[in-house]
Amino acid sequence: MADPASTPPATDPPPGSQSSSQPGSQPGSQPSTQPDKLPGRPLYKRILVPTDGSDVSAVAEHAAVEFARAHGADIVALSVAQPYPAYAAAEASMAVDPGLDNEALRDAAERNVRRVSAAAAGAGVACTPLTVFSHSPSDAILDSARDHGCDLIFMGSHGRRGLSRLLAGSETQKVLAGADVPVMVLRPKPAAG
Amino acid sequence: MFRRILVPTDGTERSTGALEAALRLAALGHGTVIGVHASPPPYVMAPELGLAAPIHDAWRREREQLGHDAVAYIRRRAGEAGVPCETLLVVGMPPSDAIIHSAREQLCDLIVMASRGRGGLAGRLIGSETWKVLRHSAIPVLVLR
Repeated sequence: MADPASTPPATDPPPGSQSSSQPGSQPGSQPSTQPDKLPGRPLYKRILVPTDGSDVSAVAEHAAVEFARAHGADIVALSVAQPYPAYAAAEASMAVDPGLDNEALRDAAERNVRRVSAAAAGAGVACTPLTVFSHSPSDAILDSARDHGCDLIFMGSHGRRGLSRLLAGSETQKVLAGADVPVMVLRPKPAAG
Repeated sequence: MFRRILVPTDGTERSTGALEAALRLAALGHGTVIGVHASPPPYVMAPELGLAAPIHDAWRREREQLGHDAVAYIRRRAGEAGVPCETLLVVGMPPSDAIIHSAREQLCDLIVMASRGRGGLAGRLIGSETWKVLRHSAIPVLVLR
């Protein structure tokens, strides 16, 4: 936060503030809804889109499909089914049938992935659906990106568990720290700030 | 698809990867690259001492030169890539604030930046300024290693 009271002139334009425009390539006048034709090699060819079914990831999914369509890329949609942490107490582990749990988790993950596949299909973008079991979504995301040769990852700034901005995004942060490829981070729609 | 792409530069080679990606995206989408360099607020240097002013002036001149060089490099690369380009220098704000502020002022629809800049601590995997931008940006941020 810039605090104008405690910091010297917040924006002190004249000494350096300069703006220069150069008439390089003229911005095209065609409607922006039209996919841009790629002049050369596409910048990104395969985009990993992790989804957890949340509203934030819906924003990322939508943007990824849009981006893939415009850039002629395809999509790998990933949903990570996160098994519940093993119960420490023996009674608890007997009370819960892990098989049933996993079934439900897989169903939920597949539903999330189907949402992306459907959006991709609607936009004419090729999509590889992927569901994996992992305790660590960030590891699963990084592994999937490597295994599937993705050269870009699209994800929300936080996931389902992002309760507040301060706590938000630990998985996103781990992906950013570990990714060898660029990561497009998207904010939820109602832009707070 | 992205029309106005903000590229922060810290004047080091860490930001060149982001610049190249931004230029490619701008070229593909007929967009404009907006280069921004931020000079953080000057250190407080006991203004009651006579020494402060000359030291501060020297420091500021050096920072200004760094900023000019940084945005000049962006203009040159954009010219070579045939991408329309605007640049601005923001003085007196921490980089993350300058980036968020400029993105809003300049009506940008994407920020492309390195995962860490010159302030990066060796042990930290993602720069604190980058993380602040991610937390506060209303628009997508493309983060590059």
